[in-house]
Amino acid sequence: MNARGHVRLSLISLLAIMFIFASMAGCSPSTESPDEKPEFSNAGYICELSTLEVYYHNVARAEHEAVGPFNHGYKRMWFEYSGVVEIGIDFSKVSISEPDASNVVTVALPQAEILDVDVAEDSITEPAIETGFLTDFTTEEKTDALSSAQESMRQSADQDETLKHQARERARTMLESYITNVGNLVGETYSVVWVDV
Amino acid sequence: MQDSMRHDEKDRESELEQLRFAGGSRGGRSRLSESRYHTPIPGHAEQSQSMANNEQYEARSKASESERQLEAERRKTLKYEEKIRRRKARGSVLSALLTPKTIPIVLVGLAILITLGVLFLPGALQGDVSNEYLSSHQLERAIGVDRLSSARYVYNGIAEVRDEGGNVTQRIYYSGTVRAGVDMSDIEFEIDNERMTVMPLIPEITVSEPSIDESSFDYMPSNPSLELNEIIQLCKADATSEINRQGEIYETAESNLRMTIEGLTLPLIENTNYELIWPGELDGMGPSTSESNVDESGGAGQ
Repeated sequence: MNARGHVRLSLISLLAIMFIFASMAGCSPSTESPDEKPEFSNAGYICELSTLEVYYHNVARAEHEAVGPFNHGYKRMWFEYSGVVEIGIDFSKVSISEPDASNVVTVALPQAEILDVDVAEDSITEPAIETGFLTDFTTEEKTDALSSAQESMRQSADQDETLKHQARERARTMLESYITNVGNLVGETYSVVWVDV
Repeated sequence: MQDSMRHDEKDRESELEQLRFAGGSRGGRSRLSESRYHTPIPGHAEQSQSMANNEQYEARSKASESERQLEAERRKTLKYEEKIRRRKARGSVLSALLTPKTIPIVLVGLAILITLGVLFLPGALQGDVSNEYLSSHQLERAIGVDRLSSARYVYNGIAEVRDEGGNVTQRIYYSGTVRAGVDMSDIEFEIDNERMTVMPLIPEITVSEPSIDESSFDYMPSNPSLELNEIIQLCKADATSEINRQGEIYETAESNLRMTIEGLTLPLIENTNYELIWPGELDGMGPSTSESNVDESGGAGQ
């Protein structure tokens, strides 16, 4: 091979090596660059995890005033029961924006709602009964009292604004922590703005 | 070095000639020695011939050996000359390559190569960066959110007053609340870098003293002969004993706490390919040979 051939071969080798290095640069492990958009793909799961399980111990009370002499018709019945109410956020109503130029993420968060009510049947105690003259609770009345226990617990939880606020705050805190941590992983500091739905 | 090799070749050639000459002459001796000292003796002709043959044989052996050595020297010289020739050829290639026009291009190419190598080779050789190790400190910082540490639970109950015979003489309905949770800074993490697992160690759930709403009292039968503070004490004691006996509030509180921990540590654990496991899930995984990383209870918190 003559000198010119060697020159050509050397230049080709140099270009080949440069190409290989450039390819290796493309294959280097992907450390996320600041330009890469973050994915909040687990936000739904975070909402699920933020669901608050509320243990309830309640007393069902049934009462009937007297309608005759000697307290005839008067009757009262109390019994205890317990259960769990799930209060949380419906993720289908949540929206999370991409970070804007100022790294602000806007999250639209609905109010917390009752997701499930579960009465533990084995927790229902023997009812305490007080009756007037010739008055007693019928079996149907006892059954009605028992069956209304679940609805009573749902209503009780639904009317408990403190508890619902607690559940919503829990979802907010966990979502904010999640968004912040995702930002840290891509080298950005995100702040979150909340919008009520 | 080339000259010395040529001298060696000439010496060997002259030596070879001498040996050939010696092998061709009678008895291997010089003619001078023959003419001066050799006097043919009748009866010794065969002995002389044998001696001459032996000498001839030795001379030929030496000649062959010298030829072999000469050949080896020649090959060595040729090889060396080829090496010199190639060196000169490379020099001419470099001379052709490094002209005033091509030097900048070559320098730029080398600079790019070096830059790419410095920037990207360490990263390429490093491997999967997501396989970094977690530390307890990172996880404890992530869960240091006090307002998620406990939850309020509604506890409405019926307190009973019994006589000496154990019969219920009075029932009191009450409404109250109780808080259950843990101090998040007391949560530790056991990290197994071999199995790539993280196990939160949750301290015992604590339940606060129940808070009773005095306006909620109802009595069966009505108008008991009890003082208000006595009634409150009865109700609190009833709530505390029932909560401890049933245990459901502890289970619910722990379930909420687990979900909180999982939610707060999810991005960290996901990014590093660890797996979050809970005590009790280790059964069947076998002993680990790595040391666990359990920090002392420290000041976690955001």
